Amino acid sequence: MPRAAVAQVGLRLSGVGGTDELAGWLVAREAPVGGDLVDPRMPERIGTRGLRNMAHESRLALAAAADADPGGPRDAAAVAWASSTAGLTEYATICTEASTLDPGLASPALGPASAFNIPAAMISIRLGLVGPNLTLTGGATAGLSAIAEAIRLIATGDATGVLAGGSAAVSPWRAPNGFIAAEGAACLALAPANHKGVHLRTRHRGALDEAALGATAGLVVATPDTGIAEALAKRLPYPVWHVERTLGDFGAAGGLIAAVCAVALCGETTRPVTILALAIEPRGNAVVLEVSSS
Amino acid sequence: MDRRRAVAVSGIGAVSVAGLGVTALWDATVGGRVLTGPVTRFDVSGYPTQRAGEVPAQTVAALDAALPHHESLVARYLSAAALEALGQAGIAPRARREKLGVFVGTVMGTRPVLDRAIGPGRLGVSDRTWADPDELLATLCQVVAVNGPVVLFAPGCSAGNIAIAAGAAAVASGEVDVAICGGVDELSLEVFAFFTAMRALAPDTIRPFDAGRRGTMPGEGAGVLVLERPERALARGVEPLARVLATASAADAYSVTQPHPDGSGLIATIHTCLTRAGLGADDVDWVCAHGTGTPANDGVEARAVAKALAGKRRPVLSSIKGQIGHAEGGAAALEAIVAVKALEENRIPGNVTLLEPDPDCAGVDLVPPGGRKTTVDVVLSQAYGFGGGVSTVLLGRNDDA
Repeated sequence: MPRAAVAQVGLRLSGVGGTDELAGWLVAREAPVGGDLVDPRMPERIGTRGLRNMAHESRLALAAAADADPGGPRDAAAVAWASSTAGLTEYATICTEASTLDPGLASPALGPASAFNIPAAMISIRLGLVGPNLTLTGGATAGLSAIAEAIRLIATGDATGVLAGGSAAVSPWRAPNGFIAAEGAACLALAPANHKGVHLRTRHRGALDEAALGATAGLVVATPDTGIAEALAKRLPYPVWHVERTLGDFGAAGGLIAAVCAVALCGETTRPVTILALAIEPRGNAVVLEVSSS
Repeated sequence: MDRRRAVAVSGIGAVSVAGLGVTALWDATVGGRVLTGPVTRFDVSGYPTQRAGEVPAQTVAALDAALPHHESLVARYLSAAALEALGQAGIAPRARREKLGVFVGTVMGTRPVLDRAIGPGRLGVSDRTWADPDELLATLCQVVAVNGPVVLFAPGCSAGNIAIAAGAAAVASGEVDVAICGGVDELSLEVFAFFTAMRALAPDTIRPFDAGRRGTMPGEGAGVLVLERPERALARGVEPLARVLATASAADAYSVTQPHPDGSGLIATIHTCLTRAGLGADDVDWVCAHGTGTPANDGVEARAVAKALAGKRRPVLSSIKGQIGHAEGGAAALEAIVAVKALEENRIPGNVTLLEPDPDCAGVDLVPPGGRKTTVDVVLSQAYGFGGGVSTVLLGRNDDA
């Protein structure tokens, strides 16, 4: 299985400034602070033009991606993004306008922003990235599959680098699942695995194979099923963190957040270490990502 | 040689405005039928334009009788197309020896359920299927045993090609033995409303590449291709239908709604596909165009194809959207299926609604409405969409190994 290196990380998460803080917080197992509104503060180089009309989730995504963006050539730089909430508020707004206003008076500008891919589109446009532009959606596995697809794009030569990220926004239209509905964004800049640092490798995609959960110092799991997370924590001989319980529900971005947590935990120690990120959905679809520092 | 050259298409399935099945789609396409018509799914009586490419009500009823019910039409469309494709490939839906993965693309997924939920008064549906895009795959995972990756892409209207590219890569790398790849969307009042507001809808007919083109029409449907290594299909006694010779994706990084005026993303993907397949511009027998019929798209696309495929002859190009509408996430997959049929039947569908070719498209050979009976060895099928994503698939005749 091919690997990719983590070049940089960008975060816009509630109560978390960076990966050090995130790791310290996970290790201390402090009470969750998820659920607060997240400030989409933008790096200066992005400027302010057009931001006012940009949806909150797209701003969070762009800010995280811009922080992670290592620069360099743009012509084969790709985006692989996960979201199940992007555009949902806009979709509902247009439905409301369509049912209450005269035909033709729905907001034309909202339409293209009502699809899942608006964060990835804004990242590509604002950062000038002309490589492949993927958006993945669905359940928590989408976030880890975004990373799997990013690693694949690098391995096949489709991209020289990938901004692999995920985002979520809170709205009344989301489906409640018992966890705090979280908002935020996180992004990993992935590069070819040719230097030291933290590396990612997809161990498994498909129905969960517990053999893929060996040889690790810990597991970060994203799943809306508390029973699965608790069973894993009880059965496995190493620490298990549950994203939804710890940070809140990020929908499709949950797996990506699990990977970022694993990257943060790897950065906690100077020793080489492996932490796994797992996303598993109620229907059994799972993705296991190996995060290793050297 | 690109490893993806060794990926075969062993089955295809479709639900479209032509009804249930690939045969219905292909017969309508080469029969020159224009299938767009008045919207009946929801009330558009006050709208200035009232036409779309709608899956017939009797087809929806047939799906209801054959599949487990699901609130979202996309879940049913996708499952029916997948079962047809698996049947042609000779792969049992439930018994599973091989590792089978699912790679599907969509634009709006289950969100159109919200169309029915929002209106005067209380929410009109009982659950929140609209907020759970994974529900799109629920019926498929009921009727097909899936033990490999389940990946749902939503990259805009290039969704079907993105899914084919990911599935082909998964087969080529050995991650899966069989990949169910497809694209799907259902007609959405929301899309109809905002396309109306953007003044992007044609009032009568979609006329891709025509000087008088006035816009597009939303459509719907699902297309599914089963991909695997050719030797696996042959071992079951199934002759592959076609080969995936190469895939490539890019972004225009220019505008959310407008293609790059230079067509730079499209040109890049065409060049990459040809390089990977070891082919030249003149080897491409047909370009199955994105061709939406909008003033913004078609001129840019035709110029980009002419530039990317500059050779001894003008590239041969046509769009089937004039006949079936723009099925959004389903469009590229349905077009890939028509491309596979073109390779099988040595027949190129025409630009059925073309009246007066746009002089801006003079760099390409626009196929006349009646189509062409000719040898077809290689087809380029391209798609792009809002957000600037571009994805191109190069398909070849099965014996082009």
